[in-house]
Amino acid sequence: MNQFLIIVKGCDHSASPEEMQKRLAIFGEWVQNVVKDRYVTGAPLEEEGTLLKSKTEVLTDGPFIESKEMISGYIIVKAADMAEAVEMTKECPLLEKFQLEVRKLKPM
Amino acid sequence: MSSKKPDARALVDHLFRHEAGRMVSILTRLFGIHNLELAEDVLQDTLHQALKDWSLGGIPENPSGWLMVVAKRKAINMIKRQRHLRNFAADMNALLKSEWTYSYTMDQVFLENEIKDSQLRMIFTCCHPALPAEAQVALTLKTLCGFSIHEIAAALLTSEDNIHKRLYRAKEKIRQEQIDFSVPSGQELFERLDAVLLVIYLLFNEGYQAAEDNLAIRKDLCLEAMRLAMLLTERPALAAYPRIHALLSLMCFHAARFDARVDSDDCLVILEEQDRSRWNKGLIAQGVEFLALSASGDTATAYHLEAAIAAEHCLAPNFGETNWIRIYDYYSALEKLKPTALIKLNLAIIKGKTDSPLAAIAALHALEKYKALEGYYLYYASLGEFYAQAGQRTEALGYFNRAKKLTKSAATKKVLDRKISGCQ
Repeated sequence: MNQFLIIVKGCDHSASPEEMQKRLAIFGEWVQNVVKDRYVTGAPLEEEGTLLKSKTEVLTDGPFIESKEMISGYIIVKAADMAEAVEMTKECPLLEKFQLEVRKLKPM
Repeated sequence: MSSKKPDARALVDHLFRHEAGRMVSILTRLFGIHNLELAEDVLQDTLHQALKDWSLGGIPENPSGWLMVVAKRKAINMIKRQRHLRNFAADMNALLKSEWTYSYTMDQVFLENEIKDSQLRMIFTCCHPALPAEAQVALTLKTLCGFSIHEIAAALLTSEDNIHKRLYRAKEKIRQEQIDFSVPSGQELFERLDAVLLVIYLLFNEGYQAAEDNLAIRKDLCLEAMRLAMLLTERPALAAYPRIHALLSLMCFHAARFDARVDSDDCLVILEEQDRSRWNKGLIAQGVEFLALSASGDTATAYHLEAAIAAEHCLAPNFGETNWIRIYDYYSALEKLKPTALIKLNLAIIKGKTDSPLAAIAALHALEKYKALEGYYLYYASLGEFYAQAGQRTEALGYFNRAKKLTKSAATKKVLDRKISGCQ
């Protein structure tokens, strides 16, 4: 089994409170029913951060790029290969409103 | 770092919606009612962050508390960004704009009793008599109940465009008339409270009226109406007002029948055919309790009478044993307070139970002049029913067919078809 990083990008502001709560429930179902025991971890990210381009060129208090490009958080899952990881991610309800990028963690 | 899997099933139903109402209220308390849109922006931003963070990081232990903390933080940022551009709530403007006092002020405003107080202010503002009734209902749903434009339109069976216009006009009016974000006091309190109760009553009726479109969200409307009325009872000065309890009682009795009113195909089931074992006994018991609480003071309002009628229906062991004589008396009293075509129609129908089919037929024909009944299937179905009972099948058949043309409900059509074949 390899580990895969799912990067959650973008943001979406158009939903009613009730819809948002429903989406949250649907995401929970995805974790319970699709990812199951292959869920490793996940976390949301703060919008602000520090960008170090070099030792002297330090930019603080981002965001540094447009909000649709911004990384909102990540999930790490286990999968046999990229194809399986992508299949799993295709089912992810976040895909309706966010872009998801799947990257394999290189086993070292 | 949390590796706990998010489980949104842990959340209370409609948590986001109800917290939205609390958050918009307290944010409006800060920003001022003239900045309602600003409060709505901060709310949207907060809920969006919750969706993202809770999906990826798990549900926090205290979801409501989490939302309030984030809303407060976002409000502080908003105030910092906007303090040179606009004024906030008049009684807090200076405090919020000064570096020395804003933090203490924010802490004071975000206390639980202030949040409750803000919700009451919001109720009284949304139900201000200067706003047209339709706008009051839409604004209440938007701000206090966290409904989106789309959801309001679905619940009120109208277009989104219409709701947009109503909300826009309501907000304009609030600005023009400089309507205060406050709970009135003294004699004005009770006058304004009547306006609030009327909006809650309308809200409930919109959800309860016999139409089969969007049943789920219209049921939510009824639950929201009950929740708002409960909010009012939390303040002792208001809880002493008997008609609040009468209104709550009537809503409990109706809500008790909600599930039995709809069959497995989402079609409405008429009272006579409802499975009474599916009526919610807890709600009926609550209705009885509220009715007892409402029986103080010397005014029997329409709410009291309607609650009493609903109680008679809910407490009757079966349709046949309903106490029609008492219900007739309540309706007669109600007609004196509210001489509407619909109440007269009910009165005429009950005459068929307490007197004779012919008496009911005469009473029904006397209502022909009312425009409100002209296109109402129940009027013709009732005429058909009593003509059938009187043995006059040809007339009955004509009225049943006419009723059938006027209803869109598949279930009602089915009932009418049965009546029609009974006449042939």
